[in-house]
Amino acid sequence: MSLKEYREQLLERLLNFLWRQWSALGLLGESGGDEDWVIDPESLLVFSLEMGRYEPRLFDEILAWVKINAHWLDTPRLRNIIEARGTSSARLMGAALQYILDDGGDPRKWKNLVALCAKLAPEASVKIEALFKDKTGKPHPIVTEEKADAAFLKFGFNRPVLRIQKAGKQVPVNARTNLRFLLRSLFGVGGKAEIILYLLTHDGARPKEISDSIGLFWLGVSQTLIDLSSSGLILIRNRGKKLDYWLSHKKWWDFISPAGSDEYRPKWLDWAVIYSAFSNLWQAMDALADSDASEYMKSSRLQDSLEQVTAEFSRAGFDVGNPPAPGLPAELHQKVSLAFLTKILGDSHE
Amino acid sequence: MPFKSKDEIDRILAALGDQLAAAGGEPLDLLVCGGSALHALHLVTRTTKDVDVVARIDGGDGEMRRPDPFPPALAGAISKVARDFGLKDDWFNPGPASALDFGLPEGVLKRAEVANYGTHLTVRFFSRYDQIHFKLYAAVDQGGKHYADLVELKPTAEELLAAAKWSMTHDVSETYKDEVKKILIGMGHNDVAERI
Repeated sequence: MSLKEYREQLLERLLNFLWRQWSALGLLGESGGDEDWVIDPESLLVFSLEMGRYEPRLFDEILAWVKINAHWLDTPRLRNIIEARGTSSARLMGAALQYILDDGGDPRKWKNLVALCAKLAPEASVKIEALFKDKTGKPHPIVTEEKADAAFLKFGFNRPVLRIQKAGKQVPVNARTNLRFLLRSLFGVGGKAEIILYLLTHDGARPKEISDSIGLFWLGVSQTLIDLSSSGLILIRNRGKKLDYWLSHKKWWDFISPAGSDEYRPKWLDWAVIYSAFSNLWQAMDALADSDASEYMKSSRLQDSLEQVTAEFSRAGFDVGNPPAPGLPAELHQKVSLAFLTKILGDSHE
Repeated sequence: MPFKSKDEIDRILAALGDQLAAAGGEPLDLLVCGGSALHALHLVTRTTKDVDVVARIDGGDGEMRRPDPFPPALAGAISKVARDFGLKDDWFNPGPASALDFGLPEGVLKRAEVANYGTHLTVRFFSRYDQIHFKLYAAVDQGGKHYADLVELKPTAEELLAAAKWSMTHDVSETYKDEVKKILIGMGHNDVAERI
């Protein structure tokens, strides 16, 4: 198997994975997913737009979903993710949100975020390029300016005018993967829902641990925890010299779970970190497939990326085992690596 | 994983060159002695586990400088290659760098065998003549594999005399001189032992 074939198979697996995540959010009208983790829509959106450049249908279905489900999205979290991911993500998110805004989206929700994206990726420094690419990486033909979508042009992307034909689907909030949405519907979008989600999927944590994990500012998280604890349903205990916040899993899961037990409890994963690792892996493979680097260097770079993905999954609390041992002949190494990634992307939900 | 042949050493050093080029640092020009250099010149058949770097050659004036500490780009590249080929962490090391402080045999660079591993790594392997110098010094100090290497190099009397004189500039003691004589006599070169 050549690295080009490896790249195409990796792309296919990443796109299939993303389709499954979005299907769980109702993108195709399906209800929930099979996975036992909690989906993070903000991280998913940012990574999906990056990969959606190779799958226009997914890209546009996501925009249709955002149009209907914008109220579920947490803009401060999106802001933090975009800032962490750099110019390329800022351009894509800027273009997508500009489109949503121009199409009747809520300016109070999106205007500042679009401005941030424009600031992170100033138009003047951006050369116009085709938004979509085929699976081999070849850009789609450029359309004339009259036929190009103005929102995307503002961020340097050329694509035909986008007209969302059918309405996006509502999120099935009772699916296990969509616990975050259930909590947002109960407590509103923002810190409270994120904090309760974290406490529901952990045995307790300090404010700093929670804020680092949920991607919100620690001072706000600390204050929200104090507010929540006054309800008597979020509890405080001493852990060393610091305070630990926790909740009664039995009481909460009896209330939240359709089955009435914490067997329903899904895993909490740090998706921002995981998608960042996937993104780095993809970018490395995309660049290497066409490069004239030696077979050794290609394998070595692949190993770097696999180790990063493994480390990030591990950091995110998910044991995916060890990456393939380095030192194998290049072709065998790529084959074993793909099998390893398939396990992560396709079968890691046990 | 020990190196068993010149081909293996070339493969590993080519990988190191690739890593250095990918890291984008400045190209390196290094003088190497020891088992890997012996293999590179097909002078011995024994295995070796490392590459010993004696000096870094400055691109500007061609002057030899101590190679230690290795620059971060080289250290990173060494780690990557160690991981990829299952080598020990210090497989590429500046172990004999202190020899530079006392001076290397005159003309060592001119005699060295030059190999380019891509755009960012040039390795100059010690010639047989200079290996005899280093091996005699190491054989006095440590014996064992160094003595075996020295014997396998089949040095002539004149080569051993030059090596002995050079090594005695590194250790001027009478004790050392006596040890050198013992080695020379052990190799059947009593005449050389009498001339030093």
